[in-house]
Amino acid sequence: MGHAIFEQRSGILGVGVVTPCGVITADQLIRLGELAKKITVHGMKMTTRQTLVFLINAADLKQFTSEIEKTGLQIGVFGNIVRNVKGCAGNDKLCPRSFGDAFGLGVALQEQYMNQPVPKDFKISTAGCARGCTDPLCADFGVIAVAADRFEIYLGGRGGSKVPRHGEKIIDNISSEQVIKVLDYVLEKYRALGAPNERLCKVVDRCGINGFVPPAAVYGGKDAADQPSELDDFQAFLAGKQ
Amino acid sequence: MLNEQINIKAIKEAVQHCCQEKECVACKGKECLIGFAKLVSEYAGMKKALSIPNGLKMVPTGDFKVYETDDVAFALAMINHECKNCQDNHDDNCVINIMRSSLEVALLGEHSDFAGNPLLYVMNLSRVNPELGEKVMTAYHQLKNQ
Repeated sequence: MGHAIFEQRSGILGVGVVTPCGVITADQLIRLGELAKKITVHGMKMTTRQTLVFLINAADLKQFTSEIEKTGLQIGVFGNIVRNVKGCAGNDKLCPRSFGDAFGLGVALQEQYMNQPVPKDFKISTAGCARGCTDPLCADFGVIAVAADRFEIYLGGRGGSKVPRHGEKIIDNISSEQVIKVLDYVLEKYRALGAPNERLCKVVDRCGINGFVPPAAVYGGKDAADQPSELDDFQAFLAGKQ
Repeated sequence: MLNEQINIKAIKEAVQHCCQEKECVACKGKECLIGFAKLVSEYAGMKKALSIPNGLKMVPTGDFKVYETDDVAFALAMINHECKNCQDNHDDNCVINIMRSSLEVALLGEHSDFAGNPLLYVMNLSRVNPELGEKVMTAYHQLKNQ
């Protein structure tokens, strides 16, 4: 594990700056601009994972790191750890298509889990609806909102490589609090079952997905057999109208 | 949140207007196409449900009443107006789609597949039934321009 600082071909450094799911304040944006003017910045790049990469001289790294901390943002992380969360701007104030607060959940997950050690990089994505602008099915742990504070979980996705794959749905209709309990369980199992440098999807291939699906008691849910479905609920509603 | 942006009340009122309660000897509720659509709107509003698993298959098939075309055309336009244009993410069992299908069967006698785009749907209605399509299209544009 380490910081997202990468030497470029020309010798300059690419330094990743993590944002809360891609959203920053006007003040932070101004301060980043001022910082870019203060030191020699060769360019800035917005990444697919909602971070900002600054291209700087190696000699400016210490000052840059110190100034970034003052903005309330942080230097990115890299390696066999839980990465920053890619979260959609779906909540009750932003994206009108979202069913639930995927943004708030994404920020909370990032604050709690980013930089935790795991066998191989572990990517989390939250989305406010099935459109999945943040590619939740391509994340190790994908979360999609289906209603207000109701989410479904997809496990074992991978976006890159020659063999990208979609995650498999393991749980649906749980609250944000329950999502955290499920994530704790998945990480615990991943650390126990995964070999060093083994991506979650590979562990799932080797061990099966069932080992990663927590029993309902773990997250305070009901077993599928005991859980009334919306269809049952609707039929009960219709019966009550007769 | 999306559910809150669907004006279920407006749909419910438009569907209610199609109801021929006074002419029916006894309300058949869920056995009636309009009655079923009313119940879906009531359920969606009460439970804030966006989808009812298998709901599309529950649209009644034994209701052969003749409804007032203008009223049902307006309600169908209202439903399409409130449709969120989900495109590839369309869910057949979305409450909007279930109500759309109920009214479509009431007007045309049969259900057609919905491809996720309400404007295309309304345009396609004109091909199936030009007179009805015109009514729905006019009402749909009026609602959009409000």
